[in-house]
Order: sequence, then C-alpha cells, then structure tokens
Amino acid sequence: MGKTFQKPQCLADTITHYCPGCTHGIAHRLVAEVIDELGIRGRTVGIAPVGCAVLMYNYFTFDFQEAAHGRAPAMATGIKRVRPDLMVFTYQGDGDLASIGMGEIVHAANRGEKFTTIFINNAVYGMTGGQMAPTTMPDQRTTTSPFGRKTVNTGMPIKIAEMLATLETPAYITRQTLTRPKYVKKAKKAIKQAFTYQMENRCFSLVELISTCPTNWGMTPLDALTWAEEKMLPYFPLGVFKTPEGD
Amino acid sequence: MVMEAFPLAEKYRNPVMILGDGLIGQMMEPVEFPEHLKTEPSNKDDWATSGMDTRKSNQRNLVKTLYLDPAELNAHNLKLKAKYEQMEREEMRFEKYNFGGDYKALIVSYGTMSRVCRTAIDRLKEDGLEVAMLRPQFLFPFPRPAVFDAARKESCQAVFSIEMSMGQMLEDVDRSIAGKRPVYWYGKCGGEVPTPEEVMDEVRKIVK
Amino acid sequence: MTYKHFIDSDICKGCGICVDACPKNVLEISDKLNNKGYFPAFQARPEDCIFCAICCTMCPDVAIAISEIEEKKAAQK
Ligand SMILES: Cc1ncc(C[n+]2csc(CCOP(=O)(O)OP(=O)(O)O)c2C)c(N)n1
Ligand code: SF4
Ligand code: SF4
Ligand code: SF4
Repeated sequence: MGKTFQKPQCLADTITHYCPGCTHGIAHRLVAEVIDELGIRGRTVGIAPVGCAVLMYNYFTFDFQEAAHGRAPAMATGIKRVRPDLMVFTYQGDGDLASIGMGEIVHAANRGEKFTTIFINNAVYGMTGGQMAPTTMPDQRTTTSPFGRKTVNTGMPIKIAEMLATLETPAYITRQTLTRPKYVKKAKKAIKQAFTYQMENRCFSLVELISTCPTNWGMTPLDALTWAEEKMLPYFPLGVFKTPEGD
Repeated sequence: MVMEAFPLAEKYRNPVMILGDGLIGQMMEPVEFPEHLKTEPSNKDDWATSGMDTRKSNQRNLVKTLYLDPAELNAHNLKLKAKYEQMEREEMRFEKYNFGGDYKALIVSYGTMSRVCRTAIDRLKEDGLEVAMLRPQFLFPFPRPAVFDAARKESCQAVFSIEMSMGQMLEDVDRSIAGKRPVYWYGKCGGEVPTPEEVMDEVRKIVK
Repeated sequence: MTYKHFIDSDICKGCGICVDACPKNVLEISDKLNNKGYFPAFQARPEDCIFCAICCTMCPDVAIAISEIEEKKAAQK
C-alpha cells in the first residue's frame, strides 16, 4: 500500500518564513490541496490577514489581497458581492479575527456572506512576539500575561466557533486541529466541505484550526503539538457546530 | 460631484473621500441625480484580483501595500508621489466668483458657506465694495496657485477663509498665499450658519 | 509499483514532526546543517519505509515528496 505525495500546484516553490514546526504550514498546504482538488485555482481570491500569515500571498499561486488588521471579512464581502462567481477565502489568526476584527467576522457571518474563513487559533499573537490573545488559555504565560492569564480580569478564552454557531443565519462552522495525521485529514475534509458550500453558493463557512506557535509558547514543535492536544482541546472541543442543513 | 468621485478613484486607483458640511451631509435640500455614470478602469487586468480564469492568464495578481525591503518601499513611495503630482497637475478644481473688477478682498470658502458668501459679495458690490471669491471644490489637490494668483492682485488687501468650522482650511489658504497678504478667518460651528450680514461686517472690519 | 521518498534537505527546517509521526521509525534528524542552518530530517532506514505518506501529511514545510518510479524502470530492477 503506497501513495504518492507532491506539493500542490497552488503552493509556490518558496521557503516560508514560518518558524520550524509551525502548523501555519500545514494549514496552508491543506487549503492549497483543496483548491487544487476542486479545480478552482483560476477563480480563487485569497485575503491575507495581519499576523504571521501576512506574507502568505508569497506562498500561493493565485490572486491575493492583503487586508488591514482584522478587516479581511470586509474585503471578502466586497469581492464576493461584486463577483459571486469567484471563490473567496480569508485566512486569519486569533489576534486578527477574535480581537481587533471581532466585529467584522460576527457581522459577516450573520449577514451570511458566502465566503470561507480559515481561522488559525494558536492562543497567542504570534507575529508581534507572543502577547495574550482572546483565545489564550487560563494561566497560560504570554509576554503580556507573564504570570499566566488571570481570568478574573481578562475573562475566559473566547470560543469563536461556538459563538458564531449561535447565530440564526445558516452557516457551516467547525473546529478541527492539526496535531496528528488523523486530525489533519479531518481538517482537510472540513476545509473541502467549507469550499464546497461556497461553490454551491450555500452559506458562510468557517473552519477553526487549533494550531501551535512553538516559538512563542517556548516549546519544541513536538511539545507544542502535545500542549495543544492536552491543554487546548479539552476547552476547545473539535466538531461541527453548525451546518446549513440546520444540524 | 459625488458621482465624479468614482471615475477619479478608478483613474488613479486611489480612494476618493467626499467631504460635506452638515447641511449637505443631512441632505437638507433637494438632491439632483445626473445621468448614471459607468466606469471601467482601462488596465484592470494588470492588477485586479478578478481570478486568473477571467483574465485568461496564468499570471496571478496581488493587491498589497506591505513592502519589507526598504528599497522596494522607497520605490513604492516614489510611485505614489508621482501619482499625487499627477493629481496636482490634472485635478485642481475650483470656481471663481466676481473676479471681473478690482476687488479689494478675496474670500476663500467652500460648501454651503460659499453660497452665503456669494450673497454677501453681491450686497457689498451694491454698496460699492468689490470682493472676489474662490471656491475650492477639491481639498486635495488644493488650488494653491489659483489662490496665490488671486490674492496677489494689486487691489486685493486681505484674504478671508470663511468656513463652517474653526478654521480647518485656514492653514491651506495661509500656505497658498505664502505671506503675500494678511489672512483672516471667520466661521461658526455646531450647525450655526453665519449670515451674509456677518460676513459683510467681517470684511468691512478689515477692508475699507 | 515502486516509490521514491524524497526529503528536500534545503527546505526542511528540522522540526522533527515527521520523525515522531512515522509509524515505521524510518526518519531521523541529521547532524549536518543545511544551507539555512537547520539540521534536516533524512531517511535513516529507507528499507523500512512503507510509503504511507504520514510524514508528508504532517510536514509544515512540504519538504517531503513521494513519487512513483516509472513501471519500466521498476521492472528492470
Ligand atoms: C491596526 C493594527 N494594529 C496592530 C497591529 C500589530 N499587529 C501585527 S500582527 C498582530 C497580531 C496577530 O496575531 P494573530 O492574528 O493571532 O496571528 P499570528 O501571528 O498568531 O499568526 C498585531 C497586533 C497592526 N499590524 N495593525
Ligand atoms: S511566531 Fe508562532 S505562529 Fe508565527 S511563525 Fe512562528 S511559530 Fe508560527
Ligand atoms: S512514508 Fe510513511 S513509512 Fe515512509 S518515512 Fe514517511 S511516514 Fe515513515
Ligand atoms: S516535518 Fe518537514 S520540516 Fe519538519 S523535520 Fe520533517 S521534513 Fe523537515
């Protein structure tokens, strides 16, 4: 039982600037594979966020735009409304989406904008040096919570997928992770489902991916994968929280 | 003028900001809609992220402003500078009022306020005092050369920036005149509109 | 059918995720630096590789490829 494996056509032949073992790379590859498989490269437009993925357009081989911090959903809304035939996706971190851009994503989801969002939840602001994010775990040390996140005055981590799933507007909302091969395969399925709903012009779709930031967590890539599984998954459970079919 | 914003935005690939005063913003008077304008940028295939299939091209387009390499960023800024300079050459918009005679004063005013100034100028004329007005239609590029030339006229003793603001345009006017004539401000805020009489009094205080 | 497992040692950042993920314990981290200054992964026991592509699934840098070796060449072997 053997398999071939090649770099997807949607990915450029460049070395990324991501730290060793950062799961941004896996998420990129999954998006690229899905776009390849659906044959939509020629009509896809990606929106890069502000965050570690700010240069992601250098790693893909189709049209891209760069958004201001947290404003990717607004840009995606504009592109998708003007050109409903295009496949539009945003790729945003938790600082971008769940902090400065919270209002944007909530209203885009509530309006039922028919684009796809890939939401990288790595529990910190990666690019700027590991500051606390809305998704930082209780007691997690970050550069702005050096004694651990105190929930007394910073509240609990925000569960974006669950929160957006409470909106009445039909949507596809799921949370997946990238910590193990079997989860990576499921995550890819979810991304494909999200893009498929968009192709069918059905609904807004968001795939939250529990990811790692070994550098700012101060861990080896392997320890980071374990930490994500042990500390994040119990609080951020995997699963599909909403489908346009209503279940 | 609002409609003109769109072709201009396409021509320069630059956001166009429309500024109105309170009366215009709240549409306190009837609005006229001219013929519908349709604009298509001529070179959009070079930059628009319309999907490679639409352009029948294998070349992808990127819309971005992040340049991490200093030389690249400098080149980008030079490109923007050239664009602003082209705007200054091609897009200065203003209207002149009562420029015919040997005016003693120049009013620079915009929006609803400029209409009040027009009435004031007509009345001052009846009283034998000639005052001209230059109404900038675009704040950028600001009609600096036109304001400069108008202020420099020998008969012109003073320049007034009359606004429904605390003097937001005053610096632009001042800068345009480069010290050639004294510049005065008069205005009111908060929704109060200065009357023609107030404008006339203001001018008469300085210009005899 | 025969396959070829290839790690591009200049793209690899030596994160070790593939080494941990491989079910057959084929991979190890090299002690030689690549030209980016990382210690890349390599196939220490290629004969044990079952070409399951699990390493490829986990590699964040898409440094690993598995290609089919042409039927003819394989037959000649
Ligand atoms: C308007 C604005 N505010 C702040 C910043 C600084 N900034 C850059 S990246 C970033 C955080 C991004 O964190 P996240 O979205 O979690 O992405 P990650 O880097 O973890 O992938 C911030 C605050 C900015 N670029 N723009
Ligand atoms: S800082 Fe964190 S999120 Fe950013 S590239 Fe490095 S590991 Fe990845
Ligand atoms: S293909 Fe499978 S067996 Fe071979 S190195 Fe990769 S993970 Fe190990
Ligand atoms: S997972 Fe990829 S980058 Fe990491 S060590 Fe293996 S080949 Fe290298």
